[in-house]
Amino acid sequence: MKEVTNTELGTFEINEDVMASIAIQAAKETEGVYSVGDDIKSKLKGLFGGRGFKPGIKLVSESDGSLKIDLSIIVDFGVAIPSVATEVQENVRRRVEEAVRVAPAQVNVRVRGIHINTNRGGF
Amino acid sequence: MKGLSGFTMFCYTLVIIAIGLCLAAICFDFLPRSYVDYTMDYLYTPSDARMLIGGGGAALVLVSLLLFQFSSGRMRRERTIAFENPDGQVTVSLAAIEEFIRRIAIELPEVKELKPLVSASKRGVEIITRVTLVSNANLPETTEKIQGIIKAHIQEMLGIEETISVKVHINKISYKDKEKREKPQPVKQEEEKPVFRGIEYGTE
Repeated sequence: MKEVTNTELGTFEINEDVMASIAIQAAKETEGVYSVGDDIKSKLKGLFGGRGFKPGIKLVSESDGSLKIDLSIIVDFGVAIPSVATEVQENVRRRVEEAVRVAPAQVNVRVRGIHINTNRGGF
Repeated sequence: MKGLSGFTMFCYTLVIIAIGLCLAAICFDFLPRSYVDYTMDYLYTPSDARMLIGGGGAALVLVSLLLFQFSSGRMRRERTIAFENPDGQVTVSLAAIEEFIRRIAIELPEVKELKPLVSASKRGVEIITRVTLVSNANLPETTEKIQGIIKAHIQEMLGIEETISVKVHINKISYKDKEKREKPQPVKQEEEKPVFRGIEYGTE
């Protein structure tokens, strides 16, 4: 999938990988997110996904031209998942829109795990 | 898809019942040997019946494969809790929540092992835990503590208003662990640190 834009001087294309990288970076920068696509399923998919495959993210271009982003994240222990997920959605939407001038219609977040620091003290 | 899986299941059940009935009939001598011999001879002669047998065999293989696919597909389907946001959907894997519960509960000294099973419905979240406790644990107090900790953490983490029910099933009491825990730890004696006394000069 490529985002093609026409200008007076010609056209430019933004590859799916670029949009995926921007979305991943935006998600990683959100407080409470430990990692993106770091779960076993994503890693396995990454092994067989070929070159350029970004584990933990899937960009789908809908028939009406809108963009849908599916993200798999692992959150830190003790965070409120709904608020972290909402923040991820907002960050990803804003950053992608800023970078490629296309606002994703949907940013679906899948929380696949909770990172617990084993060195953490008890209650 | 549901109809196809139902039909496949129905066919498979019929075949299994037919095989079972045939075996029972042979066992109780309801099926004379001559009839079996005649049928086998007929099947082995080059005729349309051979084609029918071949077709039946292929259909059985197909039905088995379909059944396997449906059952494994059902197993693969991930259990999640979903929230709808204006920006899209948020789904939380129940396996992640189970792992989280396991990790927070085993930090209690009275809990040796805990296996949670989380299910979510419109009525709320139900957590069933199977616990192994150490033998010196006070059961009512410990179970109450487990329920309280799990409920508080899940409520805080998921931010849900629906009811969270935590069922604790004590599976086992561990005695070995008790001995291990009660074994007095050797007390480390503090080594006497040399104290700096300044420079002493010998007097003559």
